[in-house]
Amino acid sequence: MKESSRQKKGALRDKILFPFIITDLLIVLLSVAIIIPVISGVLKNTLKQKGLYIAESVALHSLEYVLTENQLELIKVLREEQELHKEISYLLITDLKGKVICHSFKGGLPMGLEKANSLGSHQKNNIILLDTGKYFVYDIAVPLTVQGVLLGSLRVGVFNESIPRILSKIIFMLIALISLAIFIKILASYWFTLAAMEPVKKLQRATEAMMCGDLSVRVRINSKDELEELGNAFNATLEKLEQILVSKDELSREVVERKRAENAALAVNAKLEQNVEELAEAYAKLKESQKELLQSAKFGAIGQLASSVAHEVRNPLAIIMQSIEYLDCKVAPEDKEIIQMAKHNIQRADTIVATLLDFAKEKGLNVVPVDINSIIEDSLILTHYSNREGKIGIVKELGKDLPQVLVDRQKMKQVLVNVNLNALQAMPNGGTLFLRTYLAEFKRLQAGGENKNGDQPLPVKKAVIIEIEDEGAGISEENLKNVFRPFFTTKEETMGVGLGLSVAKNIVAMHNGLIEIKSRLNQGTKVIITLTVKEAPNGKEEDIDC
Amino acid sequence: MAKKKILIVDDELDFLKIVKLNLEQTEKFEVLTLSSAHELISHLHSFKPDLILLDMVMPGIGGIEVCDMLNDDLLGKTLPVIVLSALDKVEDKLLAYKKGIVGYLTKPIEKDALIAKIESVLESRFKR
Repeated sequence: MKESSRQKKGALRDKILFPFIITDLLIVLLSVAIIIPVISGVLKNTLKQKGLYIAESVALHSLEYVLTENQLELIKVLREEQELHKEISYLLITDLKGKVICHSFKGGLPMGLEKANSLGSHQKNNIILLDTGKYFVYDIAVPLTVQGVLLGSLRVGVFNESIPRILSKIIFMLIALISLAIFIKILASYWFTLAAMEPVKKLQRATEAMMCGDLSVRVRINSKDELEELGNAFNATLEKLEQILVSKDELSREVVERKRAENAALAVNAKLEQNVEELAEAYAKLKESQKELLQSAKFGAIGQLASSVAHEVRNPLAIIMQSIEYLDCKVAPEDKEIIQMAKHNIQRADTIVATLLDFAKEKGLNVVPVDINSIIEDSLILTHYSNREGKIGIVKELGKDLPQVLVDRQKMKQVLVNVNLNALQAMPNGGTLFLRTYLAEFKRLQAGGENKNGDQPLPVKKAVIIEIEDEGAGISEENLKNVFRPFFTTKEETMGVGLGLSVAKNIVAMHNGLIEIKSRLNQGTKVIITLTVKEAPNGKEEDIDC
Repeated sequence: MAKKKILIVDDELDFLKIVKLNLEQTEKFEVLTLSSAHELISHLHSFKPDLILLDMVMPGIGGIEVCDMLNDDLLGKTLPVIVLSALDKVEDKLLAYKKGIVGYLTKPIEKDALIAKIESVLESRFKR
């Protein structure tokens, strides 16, 4: 870095110096080109003038002697004059024709000199430059006139060497001056680079430091000139830069903070979303298992409970039974009736347990296509015992060629048995039991024993209807509402527990059928069971809304 | 006629008591009651019953396990077993029959029905 800066420094100096030197040289050349000829010209003129003056002065002095033709005195004047002025090489006096009358030469007159110069036709001064072989002389010819009468000429030879000498002196001086000037300039330039450039150097160093990242640098320039101003501006700029950087740092820190916060928020958000997802999943699973649980609760847990309850209850019942039978041998004949009552009630309790188990079991339907009439017949056989005395007449109006329905034989038998029993028990003093089956068409078929709200209209369906009608005491409107409820019964305890119809309703519901009861007090009751034709119960778990 | 020996296994003590009374009252049977099957095999060999009445649901060793124990015993596997249980589910019955029982009666049961079943099994024993 330093090398180049030195170079650059030098470059600046050289840039300044170089033109100056070039200009100096040009000036020198120009001077030489202009001044020299001018000076030379001036010198020449001066010389010529001097020569002319001398010539005229000598001419004046020598006139008298020319008239008198006093050669001796003439030579004396000439020599005196020559002594006086060192520039004079020789002095000549010529007559009108140009023939040398008198000269200053110690020896003889040099050859050719006589004819070298003469007054022109105008009889005025004439100056020519002569080359004597050794040196140059200006031969100045001046007319000698007395009262306007030309007598001859005076010729002065002035050395020319003094001119080159002077010129070379001048040139030398010029060169010396110029060299001095150049030298001074170079010195000055070094001073310039050292001193005047110092502020620039400072600025340069400060800038370099700034580039390396140090913004705390400042320059101190007291040069009381534009560089000082520049220095101040530089400082101000750096000041501003520092501030900007500080605020930039703050800004970027803020940005980083914000970014971090944003990322954290995003992460939290992502986590939240994940949690929500998991939650939704868990909720779905929960709902699922709740549903399952509900279902299994209905049929599994309850079944389990029912099983264990049944088991727990049956053991004591068995013990009681055996105990009662044991006592049977020990009691008096009139008390045997009591024993029988006890046994009967044990059976009753067991039946309740069994029904409860059955009620809770409900695993599903074992459907097969059946002829409903055959089940009617079977149920009659099962309930025959209740009519063993024959008090009740059975009237069967069973439809012919009824289409088969998909039912669980066992369960449907149970339904019919329950209903039949109710009917028979409703006519303790006799009557007629009507059993009817027939085909019907329905626009609506609803699952469940009772009408539900919000029915959806279904297409026309065929259904098999079973009617079981009795001529019994009938059921009051009040009781009709509750007739399907579990354990609801108007019978005496010996006759039933009140589960028959609720079980029947449940079974019919499982078949997607319908069971309705119509009754008029003291006239009779009709139970109507509707079963759709060849439609499999869809196995949906219906709510037992008994 | 010699009294037939009946071994009853049931965790209900009252039940064991009353059934033993009822059976022995007929003068036809000699009854040994066990409230758990822990000592079953040793009692089996010492008592040498003609028939076993077995409850299904018992704490510790259950009815099915007892059937396995009997099937593993030289004497045990020759003896007829009638199950007398409060469970009446079809699966339970099937399971028991698979173990080789000859009868499955559900509680509560009338004394006469029980005796009739026992006698019927003992009679047909000779036909095995």
